[in-house]
Amino acid sequence: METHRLPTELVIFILGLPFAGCLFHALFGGWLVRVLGERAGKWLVGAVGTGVVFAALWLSIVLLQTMLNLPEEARRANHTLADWLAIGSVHVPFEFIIDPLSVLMCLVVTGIGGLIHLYATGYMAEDTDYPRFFTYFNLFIFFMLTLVLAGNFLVMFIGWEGVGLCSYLLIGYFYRNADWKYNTDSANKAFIVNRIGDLGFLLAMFIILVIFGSLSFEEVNKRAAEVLGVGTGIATAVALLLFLAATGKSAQLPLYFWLPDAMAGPTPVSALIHAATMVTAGVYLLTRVHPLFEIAPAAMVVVAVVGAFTAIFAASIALGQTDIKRVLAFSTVSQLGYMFLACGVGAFWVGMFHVATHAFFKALLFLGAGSVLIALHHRGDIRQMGGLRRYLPITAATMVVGLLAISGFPPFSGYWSKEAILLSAYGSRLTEWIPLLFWIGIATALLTAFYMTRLTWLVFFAPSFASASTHTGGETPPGHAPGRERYWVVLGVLIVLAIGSTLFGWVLPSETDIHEFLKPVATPVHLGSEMLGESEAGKVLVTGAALLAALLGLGLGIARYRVGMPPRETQLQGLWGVLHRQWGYDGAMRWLGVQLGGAFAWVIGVLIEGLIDGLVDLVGVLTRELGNLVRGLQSGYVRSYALMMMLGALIMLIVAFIYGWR
Amino acid sequence: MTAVPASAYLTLAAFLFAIGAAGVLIKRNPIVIFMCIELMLNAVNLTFLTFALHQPNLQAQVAGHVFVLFVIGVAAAEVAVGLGIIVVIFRLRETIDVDSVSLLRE
Amino acid sequence: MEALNIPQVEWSALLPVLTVVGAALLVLILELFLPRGQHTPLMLVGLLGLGLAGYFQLALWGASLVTWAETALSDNIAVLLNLAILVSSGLVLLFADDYLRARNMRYGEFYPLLLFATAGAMLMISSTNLMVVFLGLEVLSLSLYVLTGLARAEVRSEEAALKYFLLGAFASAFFLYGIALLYGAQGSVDMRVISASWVASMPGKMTNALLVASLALMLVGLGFKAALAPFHMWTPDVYQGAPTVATAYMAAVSKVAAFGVLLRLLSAAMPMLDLWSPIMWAIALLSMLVGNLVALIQRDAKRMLAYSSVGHAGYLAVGLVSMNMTSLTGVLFYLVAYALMTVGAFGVLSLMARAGDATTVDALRGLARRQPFAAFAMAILMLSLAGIPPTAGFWGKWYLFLGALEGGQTLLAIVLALTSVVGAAYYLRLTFSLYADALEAPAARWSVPAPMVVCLLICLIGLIGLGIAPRPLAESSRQAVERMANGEWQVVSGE
Repeated sequence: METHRLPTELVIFILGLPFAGCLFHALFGGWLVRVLGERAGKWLVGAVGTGVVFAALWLSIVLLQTMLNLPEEARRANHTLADWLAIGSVHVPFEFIIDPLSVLMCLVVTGIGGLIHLYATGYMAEDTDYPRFFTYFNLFIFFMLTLVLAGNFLVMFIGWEGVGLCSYLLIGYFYRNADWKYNTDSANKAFIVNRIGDLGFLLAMFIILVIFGSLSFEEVNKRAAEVLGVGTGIATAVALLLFLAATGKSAQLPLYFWLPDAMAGPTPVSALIHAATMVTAGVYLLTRVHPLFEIAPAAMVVVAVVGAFTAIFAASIALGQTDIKRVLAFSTVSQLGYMFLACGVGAFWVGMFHVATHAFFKALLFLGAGSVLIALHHRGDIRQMGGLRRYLPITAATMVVGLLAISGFPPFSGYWSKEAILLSAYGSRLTEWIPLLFWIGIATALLTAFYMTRLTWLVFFAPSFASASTHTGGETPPGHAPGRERYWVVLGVLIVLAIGSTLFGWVLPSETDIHEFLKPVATPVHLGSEMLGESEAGKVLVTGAALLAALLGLGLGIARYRVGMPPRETQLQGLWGVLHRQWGYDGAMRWLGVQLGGAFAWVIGVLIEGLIDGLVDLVGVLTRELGNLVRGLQSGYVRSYALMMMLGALIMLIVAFIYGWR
Repeated sequence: MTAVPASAYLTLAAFLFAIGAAGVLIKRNPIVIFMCIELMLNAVNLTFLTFALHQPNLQAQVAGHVFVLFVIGVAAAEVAVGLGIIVVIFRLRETIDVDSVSLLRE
Repeated sequence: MEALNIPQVEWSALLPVLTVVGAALLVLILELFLPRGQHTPLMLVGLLGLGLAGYFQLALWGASLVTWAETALSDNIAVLLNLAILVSSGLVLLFADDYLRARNMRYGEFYPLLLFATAGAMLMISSTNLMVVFLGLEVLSLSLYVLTGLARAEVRSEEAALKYFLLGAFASAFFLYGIALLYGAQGSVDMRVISASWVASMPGKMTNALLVASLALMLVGLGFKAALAPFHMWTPDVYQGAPTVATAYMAAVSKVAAFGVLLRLLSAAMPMLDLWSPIMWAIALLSMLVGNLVALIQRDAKRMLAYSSVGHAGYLAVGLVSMNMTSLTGVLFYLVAYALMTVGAFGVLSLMARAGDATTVDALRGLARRQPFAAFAMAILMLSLAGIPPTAGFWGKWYLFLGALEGGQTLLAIVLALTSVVGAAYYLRLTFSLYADALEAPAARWSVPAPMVVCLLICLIGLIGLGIAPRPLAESSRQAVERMANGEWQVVSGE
């Protein structure tokens, strides 16, 4: 059937379903579990929580199909829910935008989100606070969809803050555990670090409001060049402020360090929020307002450099991590760096492509890690693992798929997007000036293959640490034997994600499909085409170098860890210790944070206490010492009040005659 | 109409108003203060009537006269309320000196 | 001799005021026939009258009527502000009974006086004829003098009444003298004529001087009523001494009425901007500074709120000085929000009547333990008064601030922002003390009386609702201001 219009009303349902789910859990969840009994109640809560997200996915697919049937220029529509605020003469409606970009993100959020919800019904099965978990989880989906569907900065800011809130709530989810202090500290850290980024968002938003008189993406994008001017200081400032916001949310240097600690939350949370969706919001933001970045070449350079540097920095740190989820967390930071590199060289669609493929394989890796954690009773130290493929064969197989995908081996999904990133980095004019950017990309690919091989090999294939180290007593203590794969939903989701990680990018949809699809929304409008050269000669070189790097990483990894982790590394000596401590960055930030926090608290203290006390004292001095000024006048005597009025009246008369009499 | 010019009336009214205002500022007895306020109101009445005399049409003239009646009425109502308050204070305090009535201050 | 025309009259324009007067008379008579201390029927009749008046007032939305020989009018500004007045009066009526009983002041005249005052305040806004405005002002003031002195057994209350009365009458005399000079200058006391007479007046001539003096004198009278510095000095004494319910009423209603008149008068006197702009500029600056700085050192919550009301008057004056669409929208928005906030805040303070009417900030400590709901409501009200989002107070300040910037009043905008910070300090201090532990062992938990719960809920829902969705009110305010600026009136009279 041909429709000539996007069914934009669907937005209400796409947003409303997860929200309804959240309300349902919050209002009836606990009650249902009590009334229906543990098993049936949890089943119902899980079913509703998962169902609403899959329903939203289905609606997103409907939107996609309608969109594909439309000609390219009809694929963009706005849906205004209500006229919201009037700030001066500026009107800010509650509006949503439906275009290929937002639909792609909707599909990722609801698709991956639905699978992870399903997974969570198994993973969280023994949690006592089951409904609370799904309340937050559905709420997160709601805010994330608000973020990606937002039609202006303010609506996006609601989503932006909302996902931050959910992230905070879910990182500190296990606040009753033995680790509660670490968990809540991690949550607070994430919260505080993100506020720095949000400050950038707010400032950028106010500048845009004042200059453009509008917050709508469509209008700002359209008028960016004429209003701000290309390469002007203000254009650069706006772009950099927005990028600051993106570095906060997407865990880039200098604000990356909250993400590894965010792994304190339940594993499905890490997979959904801190790997697949929320952390990609920064990349999405850049793509959404890409004209604002294109007119600020200096900011683009910053984006590319920060992205590339974060990519290799985080990849190197991942080498020294011993916790399975922390390895993956740094790998996420590193992959996000790749995405920003792509955006920085002007290949916004490539960045989004990597967002999508990364969502698949990173969710897969995290959920695989979750499966390992279930079996090992939530002890995630990879130095204590080994030989788990015998206990967890399906997990092992799917993790290997994840390894191949993230390392960029063809034909897995990661290959297509990573190659596209490296290719655009190679061909960009920026790389002509800074050739290092491209080579950093290649080096990161090598490191990625290496640390992922390290992880996979040590967990599944290396000889078990416990059996190898006979001096500790030989036998594994009772109750600590690895469990088997118990939950069919966990395995089912892993298999689905493994299939996705294998096929996405070349079968359905292919790289060219995605490129075509995103062309109208992510093609640079102000950058010349020479900035984005895609030379055929270069293609061979890039593909060759990337593949070589990946193979080298894989080979080195297997060679080094064939018989388990070398003892120097196990004890985190030398370089490994430095890497483990994140090159000292986290510690430095912590120190700085304490110092700054102290200074800030001091300043606030001085401001609030000092200022107020000072004012009080000042007024006190005025009243006491100068006696008649305030207290004296406010003497309680009618006559002095009348005198005051009389004087006021006389002065007013005089002023009136001075200024008014002609 | 009369030999006395309007400006004389107006000046007189202004003086009366000023005397009333000065009285409010220097007197201590609330009844006297209130009488001073009455003086100010009557100065206003005189002003109204003077201006009414010089209005070109009947409508405007009558308006001025009516305003005076309103002001007299309002002043009477003020007296009623004001004396009531003063009487209550006298009952409570045995004095009505405004300077001693200054519990509320600072 | 010319014949006087009997003017044709459009009753609907004054119907809301007349309804309130009718209700007041009815309550006055009804009180005679009720057993002593039995006030619930009075309250109900009063509320019914206010509700009915509100309905009639709403029906006038969109009209721009001038009638009663051009002495009465109805436009959207009148509708908005009169509704704010009606709602404030209704809320005070609702919770007053409990307070009066607790303080042993079972005087039935409270109810008719409150209704008369309401009628007076509404009349002030429903006319451009300054004589009618004066009459409305006097009806409002006289009722308020009596309400202030309602606690007959207390010297403080009587002292407040005497001060208010003497100073109020003094200010009225100035206002009236201003009206008389205006009459002399233009032969009419209609504000709408001012701009034409100013333009027509010859430089150096008498008329010119009369207009200048008259405007200055009228600003004195209105500045007194609006509690603008330097005419604010009665405010803390009267607010503190008056029974708290009367304070709640006068704080909200007389501010709305006075600023309603100021808004009309100053926009009618637009051509005289050169003259009143520096005056109002200085008044705004002084009010913001004095109000907020002195409020900092107050130990009594009522006095603190009194000084802060001077500060708020200063913010509103900033809106008047800026005189553009945004700032006037802000003035209307702020007035509505301010009425709700003040009534609510003094309402909570009136709950302290049972504790011997102690309203010092220390006496409020630990209120959260004794009356959790009241403390919560107070916290929200304080946040709104401080202008912290998402409350109505934020948007009010926001529009005023933006309006000041648009109007080129940068200094005032900066002072507005800075004094708001000072304001936030003492509001938040009060809020914290509510949640701090009581100094002594906590008294038994009180239950908040049901009418007060209703009243506070209305305030909270209104303030947070306006904070989340300021559009409807802001839009209505803007329309009202625009219509006034266009000056299109449908005059109904039989000439």
